Amino acid sequence: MNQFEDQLRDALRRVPPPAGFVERTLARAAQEQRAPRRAIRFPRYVAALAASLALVFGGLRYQEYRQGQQAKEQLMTALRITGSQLHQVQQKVAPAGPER
Amino acid sequence: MSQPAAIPVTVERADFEQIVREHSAMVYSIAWHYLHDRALAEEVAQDVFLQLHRDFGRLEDNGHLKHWLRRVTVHRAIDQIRARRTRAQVSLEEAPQLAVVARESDPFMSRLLRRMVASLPRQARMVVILRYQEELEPMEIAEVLGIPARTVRTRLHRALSLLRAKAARTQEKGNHESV
Repeated sequence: MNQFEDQLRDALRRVPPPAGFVERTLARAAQEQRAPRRAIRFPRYVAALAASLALVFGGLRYQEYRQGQQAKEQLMTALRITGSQLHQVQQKVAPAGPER
Repeated sequence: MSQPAAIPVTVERADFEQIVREHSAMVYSIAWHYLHDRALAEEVAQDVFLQLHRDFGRLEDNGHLKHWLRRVTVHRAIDQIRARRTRAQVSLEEAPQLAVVARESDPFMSRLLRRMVASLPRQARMVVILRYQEELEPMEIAEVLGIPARTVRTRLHRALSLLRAKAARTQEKGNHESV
């Protein structure tokens, strides 16, 4: 161990905390124990904002779903009409029979 | 690597006062040597003990307790510096050194060295404090700081070179002035 390091060790010796440190720390601990820290609660405006956003997004999703359903119904109707028209044409054509 | 079977000796709340009394110098000194601000060092030290008060039950024995206190103090002091980006706000002469000065071999040199340590880069400063205040080996310092032991050795080596060079310059300057 060289002299310089010894001097450094001497300079960085532990120092006592200021007078009353222990008492102040114990008082803070006791105070904290009496009034435990409240659980983290969101402010009301954050909750209101979250609810509004949920409603808006929910509404948009529902609208998309309804539009999809309507499109599906329209397609089914169109297919049914096309099907019945094809059936009518087939009935008109069938009695004539194949030409010789 | 298998962990040795630990017999949990839970630290009781009743021991809190005794623990604060026993370890306050260690906790406060790490914070003070690093922050060089009396009020901030006390705030950090109190916060460390309050966290201990809240975390009772997780600590197993006295060895673990000392290690825990040291690690939490180091990280809280580093966080404090990062948050406030503070430099020394209280001159070193104002620091609570009265009890120590009487035991120092060379009070002037000690004051000078503390000032030089305070001027070291943050990371090197903590390594020097843990090495020379807490007498920790590089491996132990690495564990506390969560960095490789090789990095600790490098920082320590650079810090010592810097400090030696500064001390030599100061001594030279002193010699010139006295001539």
